[in-house]
Order: sequence, then structure tokens, then C-alpha cells
Amino acid sequence: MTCDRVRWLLSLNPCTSEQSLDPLTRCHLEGCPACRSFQQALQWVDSDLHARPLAQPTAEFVPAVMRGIERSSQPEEIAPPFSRAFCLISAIVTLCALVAGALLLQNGVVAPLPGSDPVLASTWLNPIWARDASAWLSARNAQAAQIVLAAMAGLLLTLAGAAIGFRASAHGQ
Amino acid sequence: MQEPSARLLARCREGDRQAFSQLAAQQQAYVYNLAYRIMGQAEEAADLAQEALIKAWQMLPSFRGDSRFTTWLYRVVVNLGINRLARLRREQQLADADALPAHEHPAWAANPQEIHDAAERREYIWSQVDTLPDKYRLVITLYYQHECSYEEIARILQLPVNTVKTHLARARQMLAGRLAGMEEVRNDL
Repeated sequence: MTCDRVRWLLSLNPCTSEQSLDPLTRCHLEGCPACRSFQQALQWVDSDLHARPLAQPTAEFVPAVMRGIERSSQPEEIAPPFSRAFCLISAIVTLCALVAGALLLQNGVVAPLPGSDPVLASTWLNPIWARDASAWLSARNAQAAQIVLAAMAGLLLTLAGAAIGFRASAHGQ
Repeated sequence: MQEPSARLLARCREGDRQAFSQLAAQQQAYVYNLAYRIMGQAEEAADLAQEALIKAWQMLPSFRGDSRFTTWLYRVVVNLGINRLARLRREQQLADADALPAHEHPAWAANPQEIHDAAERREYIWSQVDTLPDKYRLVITLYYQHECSYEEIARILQLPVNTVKTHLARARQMLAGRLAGMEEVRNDL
């Protein structure tokens, strides 16, 4: 029987008494001082590991636990649905949208009259889609079309602004 | 290991904070020591122990009594501890997954030749426990300090019973080997 095997067998059962060892192991131990030394060390390990008193936490420990429980059981403060940043950004974007809508209403969606200045007709203030849309409607409904298109543009810009504001506030929290 | 009375447990489960305060006071040393063996630092251990007891309070209604309360509580500590340790290691960007956090040893523990009596030897052995791999350290702590059976340790660490026995044997072998080596050095002097 090798020393490694004997040491492993000794390690398997904590607090093994000499009598409970099998004859082969006992025979090896009698003739091997190194393994006897290991067996002695193993007994010390067992007794010393059992004997160590438990370390005590500080006196503040239990009160801190109870404070933690107190905190954890309090209902969480309901966060406002929108942060200040969200409201501010939304207001700014809405204002911009209204201004843009007003500009479009005033300048952008007027269908060029026959014979009007072609340079003005090709500017960004008079986009082709607005002209086509107006043309599609009858001349009587041109004013209504202008209002609807302006409102749609304003609504789209407002939605985009709200999305940006929401993302910004989510990042801020 | 002190198992709380059924009456105390029942009061805690009913939400009696005074009763839980008693339970926490009764278990604090065991929870703290186990937390210390996992984390290796007093401050981290105290944080983990507090977190575990708060978690235990929150989860107490779900405790069905299939095992002893202490077994269940230690499992909460170990689960939280493993997560916390992993997070701590990630934060410290330790390359070696098995590297231990810096354990707080007594200054003399690094110099075993200065051990003269049983008390110092005991401290030396426990300081060596701190240097064992996580799996051995926890098994040693639960077996010797918390006096858990193999089956309870298996339940706490979620390991097969035979693996627990092997871990314990390996840990004892390592500790005895170091101690025997230390003795040989002293005999040589």
C-alpha cells in the first residue's frame, strides 16, 4: 500500500480512530513515520477545526438587518410618469412643431398658381408633395388641405419630439 | 448550529418582526461566519450576511419546512454569496476565476515556525482554510463550524453527497499535509 493511498484513506473519515483502520493501513502506519506524522496532523486538523469559536459580527449587525427589512417593506415611491427633462423637451419640440406647422401653413403648401414664379415653386417651402396634394383636392378645398397637411406635419414632429424626450429622460434616470 | 424553535419560526412566518429580530440575533454568528468564508473580508461578509437575513425574511413565507431552517438559511447565504463573489471578481477584473479575494489573516499566519501552542496552531489551520479553493473552504466551514451533516451540506451547496465527501477528504488532506510539512520544518530546526 502506497503512502498516497494510506493518506487518502485516512482523510476520508474525519476523526478515524486507530482501531477502525484496516490491518493493511495500520501495518503501513507502523512502518512509515511520514504517514504517522500525517495522521497526527489530521487529528489536529479535526480537533482544531471543531474547536474554533465563531467570530461575532458587530453589535450593529441585527439593528442594521431590521432597518433593511423596514426599508424593504415600505411601498416604493411611485415615480412620476414623466420626468422634468421629458416635459421640458416635449414642450420645446411641441413649440417647434407648432412654429414649423405655422410656417408650412403660411408658405409651404400653397399650390403655385399658373404663371407663378418657378423659383419659388421649387424651394423647400413648397415641396412637391404638398403641391400635388393640393392639386389633387379641388380648388375649393385647397384651404382645408393646407390646414390638414400642416396639422399632420405638426403631429409627426410632436411625436418625434416626444420619443426623443422619452429616451432622454429614460437615460437621465 | 442552533436550530430555532418551531414557535419562533411560526411567529416569523406570520410577519412578527420582533420574533425575526430574535432569530437574526440567534443566527447572526453562523450566517456571518459562513459569509466570511465565502467573501474573505469582514466588511463584505457583514454586507452579505445582512443581505441574506433580509432575503430570508422576505422568502420566509415560501419556506415549506422540507429541510431544517438552518439548512435553508445557509443555502440562501451561499447562493447570494456566490453571486456577490462573482460580481466582485468581475469588478476587480480578476483573470483567474479561482483566485481568491484578499483574505484577512493574522500577521503571524504567514510564518508557521512561530507557532508554539494549540491556540496558534488552530489559528494557523483556519488561516490555511482561507487559502483553500472555494468548494473545499465552504465544505470545511459547514462541516466543522456549522456542524452540518454530509446530506445537509449537499443540499446547501447543491452537490451530490459523494462529491461533498470527496471535497471534505481533499480539504482535510491538504490541511494535514501543510500542517505535517510545517511540523517537519520545525523538527528540522
